[in-house]
Amino acid sequence: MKTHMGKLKKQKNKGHESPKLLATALLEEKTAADLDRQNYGRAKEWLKELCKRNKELYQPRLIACYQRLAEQMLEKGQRHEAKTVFEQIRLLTGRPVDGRMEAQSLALADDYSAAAAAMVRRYGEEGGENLTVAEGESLADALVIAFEEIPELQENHPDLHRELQAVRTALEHLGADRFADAQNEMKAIGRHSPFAGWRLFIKGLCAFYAGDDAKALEALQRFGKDSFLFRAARPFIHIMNDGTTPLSKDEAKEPLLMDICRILHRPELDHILPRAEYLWRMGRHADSFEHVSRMLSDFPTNEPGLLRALSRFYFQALFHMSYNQGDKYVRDLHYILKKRRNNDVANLLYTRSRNLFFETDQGFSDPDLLRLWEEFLICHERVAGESRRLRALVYAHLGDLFGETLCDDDPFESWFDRRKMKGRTRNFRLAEEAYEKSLALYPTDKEIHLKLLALYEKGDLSAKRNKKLDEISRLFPDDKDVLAINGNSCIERKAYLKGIECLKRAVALDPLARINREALGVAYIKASLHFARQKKSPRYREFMKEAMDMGEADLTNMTLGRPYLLVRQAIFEWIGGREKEGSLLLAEAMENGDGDGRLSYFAYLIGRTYEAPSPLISQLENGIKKIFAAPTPAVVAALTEVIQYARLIVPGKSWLDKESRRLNACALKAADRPCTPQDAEKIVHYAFGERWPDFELIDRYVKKMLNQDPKSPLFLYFQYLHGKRSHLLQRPPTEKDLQRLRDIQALAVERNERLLLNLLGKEIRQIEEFLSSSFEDDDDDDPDEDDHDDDRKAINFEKLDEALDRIFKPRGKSSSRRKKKKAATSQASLFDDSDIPF
Amino acid sequence: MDPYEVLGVSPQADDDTIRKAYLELVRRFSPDCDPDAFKRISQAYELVKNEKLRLEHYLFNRDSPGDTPFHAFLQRVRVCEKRKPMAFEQMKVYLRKCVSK
Repeated sequence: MKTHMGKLKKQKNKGHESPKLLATALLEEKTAADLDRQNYGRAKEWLKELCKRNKELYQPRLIACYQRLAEQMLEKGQRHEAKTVFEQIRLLTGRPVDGRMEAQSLALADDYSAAAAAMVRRYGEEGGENLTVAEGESLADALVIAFEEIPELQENHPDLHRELQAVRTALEHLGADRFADAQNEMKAIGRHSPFAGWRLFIKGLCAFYAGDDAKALEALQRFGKDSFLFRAARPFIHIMNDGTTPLSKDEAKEPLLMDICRILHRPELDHILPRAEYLWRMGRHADSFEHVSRMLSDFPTNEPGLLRALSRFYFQALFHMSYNQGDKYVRDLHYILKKRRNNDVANLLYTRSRNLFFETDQGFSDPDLLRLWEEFLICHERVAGESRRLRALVYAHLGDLFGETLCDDDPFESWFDRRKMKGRTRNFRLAEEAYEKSLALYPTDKEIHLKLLALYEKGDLSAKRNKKLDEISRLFPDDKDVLAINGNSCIERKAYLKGIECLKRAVALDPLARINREALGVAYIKASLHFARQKKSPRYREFMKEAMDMGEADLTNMTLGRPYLLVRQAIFEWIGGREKEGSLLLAEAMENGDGDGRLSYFAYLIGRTYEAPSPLISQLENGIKKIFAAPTPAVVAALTEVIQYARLIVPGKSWLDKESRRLNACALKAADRPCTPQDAEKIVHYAFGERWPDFELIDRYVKKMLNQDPKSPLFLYFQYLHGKRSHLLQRPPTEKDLQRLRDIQALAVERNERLLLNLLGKEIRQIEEFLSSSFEDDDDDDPDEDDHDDDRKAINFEKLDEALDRIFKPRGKSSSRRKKKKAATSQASLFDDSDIPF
Repeated sequence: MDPYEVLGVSPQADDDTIRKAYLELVRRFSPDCDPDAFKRISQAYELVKNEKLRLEHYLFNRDSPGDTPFHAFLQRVRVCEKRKPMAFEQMKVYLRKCVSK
């Protein structure tokens, strides 16, 4: 054994010469070479030997070498080794060479008192005025974190001692919630004191704990990046910034998060959350969940507290992921929970989230979705007992899902048959069954009754609809919504008296509900027209009088505005065979104000709509010919409003298309005359809304307005829309479109155009989503994407139980239901009755 | 944000308890003194003020309390917990730990 050790020693020394055997010149040469290579450890060995030969000459060089070696060791984190080197320097010189560095070393070695004492010694030797700001800060830091009395300080530097005491007392006050006292203590510290940083730190912490984040951030963000207080303030800043403080490239986040857990008095989480965070950020979402559930026995939970927040996070996060990420996460959660049996709460939370996630999946059949939710109800009953209300809501939700309106995905549909497009119900039978189950469980839910009624309406099942309406009217006799629906339904069936009665009651119950007032106005008009056609003058006059009583004085509302009601009444008189009375009423209406020709045009269009006698139509047409002869943009703008209203009343009439063309020609004729942006906006808006938009008209007015004001965000937006829509097949949006819209948005912000900003915001979000989903689809092709999770890859999905096979069956074969989804209108349109226009 | 956490009530609380908690909070955080808190409280109350809304929220809400687990933790602490300073001894340990960072 001894021989073996001897051999090893020989081998170790082989190739290394003993300094004692070398000549001085050679030693000097080797020293210089090692110093050049920053190999201070070897250099000091040569210098030690040289020192033995000539102490006076070589000792200063040896001390300098030791100092550089200590610096190097501190840089490498070898703090104990550095401390030994400092001891050597002190032995050689009888005093520390660099107190700051020594103090740093001592502090790193947890010898805070010695570190503070070293700094104080240096302060004494150098004198306070010779210290740099950084050195002063280091002195203050060392003194504070020593948290002990330093005798030399009290004796030799009473001012520093007094300030140190103030900082310590302030920290004590802070820990005891006495923020005002803490701040008072800090008044003893001057702006140029070495403790000025601590004053700021304590001020920042007082604001932090008092909840004044702006003030706290202002104070705590002022420390230099290399300072001790910067490191101490970091977690507080991170908390206030909601965890969004950027970290430097090589900085580990976990220690910071651990500090935050401790600062927020959650030491039990300091080894759980940082790891969970890391896994989550690495995209290993299920691993993150598994880590937390393994470390915290009460997780997941529905009980109030922090763990509920974490549970909510893990089970709701999938709604905010891309589809593929969410899909993978759901599957992974399933396996984790399957391994941990008998966790009903976890299963309940999981089932709910899974169902909501897969609801939007185009590959799921409707019976599968129904089964998923019924599985949830079983889980819920196991955990929380039976709840009829909850069951009723789940079935109502299923009714909504299956009752949604789908429309065909024909790219030409919007161009050729936009107005006639009628959606189909996703699954009428299941929707009806679900609503009925819901009502069986909770029969007094008015909203569900109304939804079922709307479903029958959508399916054109008038018998079922009327039966349901009768039932609802019986159940909720004094409900304004039910009264309004019943009233409108009666008007549709030409039961005018009953309908008007219902609508009157609905208006009386909620006089501020505008929609019911308008519905009542429409009912009066329809009833009047009906009786005018039957030549029953007292009846229609009576109804029109009631309509006038509830009418409005101005010209903005073409249903309830009195001038328009007067025009209508005049036409009814004509239809009722009383031309004289009709002419008088018309003249009266025109006297009240027809400056821009809108009333004349209204009378003409409504006359044609109501099929008034030909002499009246000819008379009205002569009137509007004069208006069309010399139009101004202001007049055209007024007329566009009238024709748009007429389109709402009688959609799809060919004479109205002809009328539109006449108006478009008139608008083009007026385009050279002076025009306000408001009028141009109305004209362009009208043109865009037409079935066949007149792009020349749009182009003329947009260009005209942009010539007047090149930075008008509204007309730049119209120009953008014009560019997009003037192609038969719309191209998908691009980054260039996005940038263009952002530029327009910036202009709209400058001019505070809120409505336009809302519109732009929506469109920008849609394009961003579209573009990001395109990128995601590209990313999905990356075969290396899931490399971190090889063990899960090995699981064969085909071998799962039957239910799961159905749940997780391959997607993509069914039609794209999500794309086809069309928002169903809950309120039956008041304008749909082309038989009796109003 | 979890409306129950905002209102400081249990998810099992009834209409009266929730309304009382809401009114108490609105008194403390009026729109003038803390508009953000008032808005948060009002929004939370609107989500859970009756049984039907509570059940609907429980069944169908898709809000996430944060972007990452730690963010969810910070959000919860921010809204639901009053910041409590570290005791002096804790602060001492914390500051000394910062030396070696």
